[in-house]
Amino acid sequence: MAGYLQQDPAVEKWIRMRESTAKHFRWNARNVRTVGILGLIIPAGILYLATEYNGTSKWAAQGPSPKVAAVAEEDA
Amino acid sequence: MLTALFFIPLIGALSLLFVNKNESLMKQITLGSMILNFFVSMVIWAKFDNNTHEYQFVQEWTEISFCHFNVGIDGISLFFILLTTFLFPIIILTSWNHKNSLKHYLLNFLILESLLIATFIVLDLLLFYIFFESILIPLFIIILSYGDLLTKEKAGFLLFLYTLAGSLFMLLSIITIYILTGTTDFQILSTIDFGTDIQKLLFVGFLIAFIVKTPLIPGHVWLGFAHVAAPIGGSVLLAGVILKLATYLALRVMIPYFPEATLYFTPLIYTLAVISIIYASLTCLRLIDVKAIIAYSSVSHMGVVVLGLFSNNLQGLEGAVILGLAHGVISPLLFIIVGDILYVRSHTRIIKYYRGIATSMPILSLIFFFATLANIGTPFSGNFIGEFMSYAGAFQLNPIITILGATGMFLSAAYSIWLFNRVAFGQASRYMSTMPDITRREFFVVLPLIIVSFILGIYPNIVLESLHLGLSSLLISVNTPPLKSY
Repeated sequence: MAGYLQQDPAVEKWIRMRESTAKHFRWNARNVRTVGILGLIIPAGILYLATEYNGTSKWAAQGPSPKVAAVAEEDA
Repeated sequence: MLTALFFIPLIGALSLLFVNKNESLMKQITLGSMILNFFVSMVIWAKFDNNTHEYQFVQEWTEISFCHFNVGIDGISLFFILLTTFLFPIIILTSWNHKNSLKHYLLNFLILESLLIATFIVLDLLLFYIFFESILIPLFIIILSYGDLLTKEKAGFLLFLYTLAGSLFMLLSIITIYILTGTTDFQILSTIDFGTDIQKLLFVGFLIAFIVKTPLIPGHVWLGFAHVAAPIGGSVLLAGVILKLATYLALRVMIPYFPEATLYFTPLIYTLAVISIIYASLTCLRLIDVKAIIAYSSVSHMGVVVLGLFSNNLQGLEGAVILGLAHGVISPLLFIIVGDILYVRSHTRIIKYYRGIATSMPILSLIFFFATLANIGTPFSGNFIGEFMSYAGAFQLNPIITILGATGMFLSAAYSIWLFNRVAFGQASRYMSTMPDITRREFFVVLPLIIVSFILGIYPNIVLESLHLGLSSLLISVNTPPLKSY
């Protein structure tokens, strides 16, 4: 069963490069910007939205509108 | 009867100690005890009364002086127990050809089954913590002894240290609860009302453990490594049951005992859940290891579970439990397909080597397609019911966050369809010669998982009937004034 795969050295090198990406991380300007946006700004924005709109939706019916209530009263 | 669930695997483990060379007998003893355990759990389910939210099958041991080893189940723990007893025989069947130290391998899983069941049945908080932590030891041994050669040490230590560090804060909270109340019994604690400030402090301890165990970003790092490095049995167990321990922690402890803190921290938890859904899904699109893709898709799906759990309505809570159960069936199915069936033949998990297996392995491709559809949350799968209800419940609480979280629906479709397309379709791979299709054993291992997912998808009431009362008691009324409290 081990004979089904033919490893390609180019693919193996690509795999090693992809899987060691984190080891080559450096705090350059681009990465600082990316971490800042993805790690700070976006989560802060989502937290703001979560706090601001938490439990603020009123889904229950509020009762008939004044016009409908007036018509109902006339009919009665 | 509940203690039978705990002791049957231990008796099986004890019997294994007397078997030395006969591997066939070892596997039969292990499988036999796990199947027996499954039948006992089915009997418990048949005898379960859906018309009460009280603990049932309660057994108390007053003779033990140093702890309250009281056991009992309600609608919440019943299905986690069923999931556990259902998955363990499948784990053994997927590992049927395992050769390396078979006896110790099987012993680990038998002990794990006992410990997991104990976690779900004990009615004491300290014992819950002890069993919650104790599962780490056999898991650690399984990964380090039988895992992938290159990554097992890092994976084992990450799993152990992350979970231990997270649970340390949970232990501090438990000790504080004991100091304040003098008890750690679930039934007594449910009658006690903690003050809001104390609730928030205690909740933070449990929340850290919850974030690591679920896992939510940023406590998710251990999962990718552990899933990839673990042997197939370990991966199935991690995805199927271990991740649901956090869900159980929230349902059993966090929400009922700290209602005001739950409401206070819901925005933060929702933030972490949405970030987990989106970031984990985007990560899946970039990964090259099929097992890692499924591992990170678990992070994404558990984010949806968390949205439902903390939605404070019955729809969300039930959706979270159903999605947890459905995910506990489909994720192991995906791991078996890529981590066992394909990996055993090709010895690679790298997606670049796979292409066009639909021509040479049509039955496996069909099963893989079903699993992919279920993973996306297509109707007729339990994942659809769970996701729909979780999102519907979360929408009632916070529509904006739910809309953001719902982007996970099309992101999960993106990475799932991409994965399946790359592996199954296209010209036959130039790196791989024709592989034989799924064998009879492999087919009958995955078939129960498909059937259960289908049943959950077309008749979720089979689970919901027993959940209604148990989960209704978890709903927090925002208008109830606080009682005199600690």
